[in-house]
Amino acid sequence: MATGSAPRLADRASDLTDQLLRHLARLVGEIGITALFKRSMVLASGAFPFLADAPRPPDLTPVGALRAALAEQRIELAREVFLVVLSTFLALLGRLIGELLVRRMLHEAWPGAFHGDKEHE
Amino acid sequence: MSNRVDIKKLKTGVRGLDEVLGGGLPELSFNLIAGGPGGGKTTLAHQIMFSTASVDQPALYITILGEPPLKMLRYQQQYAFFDADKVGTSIRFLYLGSELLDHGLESVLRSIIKEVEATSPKLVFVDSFRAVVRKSMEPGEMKLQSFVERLSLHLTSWEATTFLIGEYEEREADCNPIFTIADGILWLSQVAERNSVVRKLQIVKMRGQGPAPGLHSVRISDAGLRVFPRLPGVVHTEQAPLALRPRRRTGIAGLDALIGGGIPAGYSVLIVGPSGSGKTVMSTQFIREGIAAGEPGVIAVFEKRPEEYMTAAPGVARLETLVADGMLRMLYLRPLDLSVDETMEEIIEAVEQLGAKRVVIDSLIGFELALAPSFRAEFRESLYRLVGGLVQLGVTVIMTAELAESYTELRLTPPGVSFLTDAIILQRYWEQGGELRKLLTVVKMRGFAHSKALKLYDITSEGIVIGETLAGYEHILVGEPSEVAGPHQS
Repeated sequence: MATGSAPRLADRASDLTDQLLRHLARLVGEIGITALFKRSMVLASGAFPFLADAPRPPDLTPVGALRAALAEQRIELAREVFLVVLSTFLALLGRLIGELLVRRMLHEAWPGAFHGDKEHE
Repeated sequence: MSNRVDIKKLKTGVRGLDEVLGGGLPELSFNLIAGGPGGGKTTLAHQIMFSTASVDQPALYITILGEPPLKMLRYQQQYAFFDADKVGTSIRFLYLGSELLDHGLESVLRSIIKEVEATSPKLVFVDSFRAVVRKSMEPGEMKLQSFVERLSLHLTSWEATTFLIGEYEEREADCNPIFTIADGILWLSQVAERNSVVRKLQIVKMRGQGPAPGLHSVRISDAGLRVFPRLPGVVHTEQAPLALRPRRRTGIAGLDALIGGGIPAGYSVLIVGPSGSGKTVMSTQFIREGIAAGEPGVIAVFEKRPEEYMTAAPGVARLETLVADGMLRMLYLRPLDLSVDETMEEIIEAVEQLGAKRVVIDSLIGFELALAPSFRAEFRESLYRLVGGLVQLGVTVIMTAELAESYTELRLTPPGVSFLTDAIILQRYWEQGGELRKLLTVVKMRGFAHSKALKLYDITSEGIVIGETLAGYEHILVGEPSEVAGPHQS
């Protein structure tokens, strides 16, 4: 993750999330994946109420809402929130289809992110 | 030299299915896996895919509405065949439900073709095709026939074997173009009757090869789906004429003498008698005698549990040892929703694995009760197939049947089963001198002369011991014994 301003981090985080959700939606359907991501936002808002509190346009996607929320925070907090939302989402998905499949899908969605970690699996 | 195209047959990896299909699935065929809800269509498709997909033979599983993919993946993982390591490597999932809803069939077809051209899968699954059928009925949509034809031609051109999965009712088979275009139709159904559910598979058609006709039983367990062919592929053993076949001794000396030295190979015997008359004991002796002579045996128990059977049988420890030594297989087949096909498969599989020469089915009444109600109506036909299959293997079969004791009429077997067997041994009780004694007689022995004597016998710790001939009386079996004048021999 690039260091710098929160808005830049928010852009990068939402791009990564978009890339992941698009890939997952292609495999298992957009409706289910979007619903899971929304739920992970709701769960994370227990610790970070601003995820739910801020007024957002009704047609804003969950990833758009995350981006907007992150951009308004300090960079350290924005990074922490993003990690919590993402890990919550992956945990929810893992509970449904198993960690092994989730790991495989992550490899496909973010091939560069796992470069060289084969031996650690 | 033949110029005919050689169609390879893909092994499906589903036990029993290749046999029913006529050797496997024709490569590049366009198949429909159809049936009502809950029949196991998706499970069958997944099992074929996970069993056959490899890096060299990749598979593409396309979901179009129907069962949500997240749930499908969740539940299919519970089966042993599901191999997560194949997902993303040799198996790719693709969801096109939104494509169908937002852009219609033309767009779905384009997406499938694009994916197939990009990844060259050898196996393509489309689940649920029902969604495509429904969409095609909307005004302005591509006609179903056009969609199916284009899909079929394209996938065949790209050398993919294809499976369309969908819920259909039998009446649709006459008017739905998919049924015409499909090369193969695998129809799964389930029938409920009196708390019992039986799953069935029918190969409605399979172009270019001869599938096994009829409805075949299917069972779904943690291992996945297993098909039990209606007529198991029994390898017939070339058998000598009846009179020249070897005799298999029963282990009951007096009995062998009554039947000419033993029961012939490839022959069936029914032992009938009232409760406690020693049918199981006699059967067990027959099995033990065979094992002593190096002939493995199989006992299919439909009433007593195997452990009870071991305890009840004479020579307890030895029977258990025989199982451990691999000379005896005990099959406990008591569930009340058994299909005949399953039973046949289990017994024939055990016979082939062990090289068994002797089989005991104890008892026919238990067998009938263990069957799901829908099979009971065809019990005699099923028994005929079972016995016929075993006898063709050269196996000697002993079956037992309880016969309610009637002291005023002569009944030889339960209704309608006597014609199924080559020989019948009847056991009866007989009251003499204030004692309830047992007697037996050989009622019939097809193709052979046999003793017609009534023989007294006892059940001892060593098994059945045949005693003297009950001479000097008549009308014993109809409950009106009277002494016969003149000299008697025993």
